Amino acid sequence: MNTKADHQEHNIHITSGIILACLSGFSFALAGFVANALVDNGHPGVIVGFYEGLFGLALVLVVNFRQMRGKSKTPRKAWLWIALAAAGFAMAFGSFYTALSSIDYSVGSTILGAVPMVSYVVALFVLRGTEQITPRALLGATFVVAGVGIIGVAN
Amino acid sequence: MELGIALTLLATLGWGAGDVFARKAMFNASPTTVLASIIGVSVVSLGTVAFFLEGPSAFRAIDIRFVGLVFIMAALTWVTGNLLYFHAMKRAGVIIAAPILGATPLIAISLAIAFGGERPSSWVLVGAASIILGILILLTDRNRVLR
Repeated sequence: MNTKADHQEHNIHITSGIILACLSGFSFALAGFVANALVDNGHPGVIVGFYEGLFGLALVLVVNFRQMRGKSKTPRKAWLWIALAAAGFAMAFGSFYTALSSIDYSVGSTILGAVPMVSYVVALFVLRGTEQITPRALLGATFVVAGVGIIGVAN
Repeated sequence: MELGIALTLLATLGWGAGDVFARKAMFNASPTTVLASIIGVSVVSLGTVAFFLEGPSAFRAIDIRFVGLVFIMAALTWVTGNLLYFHAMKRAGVIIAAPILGATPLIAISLAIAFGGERPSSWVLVGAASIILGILILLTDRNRVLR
């Protein structure tokens, strides 16, 4: 009985994660529209990215101020992964916004369609024993990446 | 052009690996802590790149319209975009969340059709169908998150 309830709870947890990922994708698409308008107006991509991050940091801290104050200390082990993630994201933002000065956004976003595949390869080593890449997951991700590639080439 | 593509490939590597490292960090830290740290480092590195590429005067060349639009962008990218994405990764795992986010071009096209009056070509429809099929396959495979 407990196992069935646990399984149901597990599914609800994952479904809520899927809904959040969809909402997040919608937000990124809207942000892309605004970014395009700003870069088209002659603002350098790195400056847009810098101010976007600065305002974003302020917003995230304001929105989560109470929650962050009440949190217990983050263990040292987590900080290593946070530092690695931060280095990865910083490299990504810096190089992508710099790249936008020499390539079209449509070309860049098509290449970025391969991000899930990179995640899968890294997850194979880093998340071993925590997340499994099943053949079905790999097939699904391949269809998504192929679809993004087709749309990029068609555009 | 070649440099642009090389830099975008580097960005792909950074985002792909960064997602997994962030997921790993979230086993012991809250998504908010992880996200705030990532934004802080990103702002510093982007500021440094911008300083050397554009010069200090570029930071001052902004007007009220720019500030307003970037503020909206910041809310969409970091609060409703990345914050929700990090919570999604914590709940559904990076293996499910990353491909769903990879489908963002599909949402962008839907917006362009709905609000921009654009008509998609048949190849765009083929790409959209491929993305939808991929997501449907992912959605029916929910039991691989072990922790």
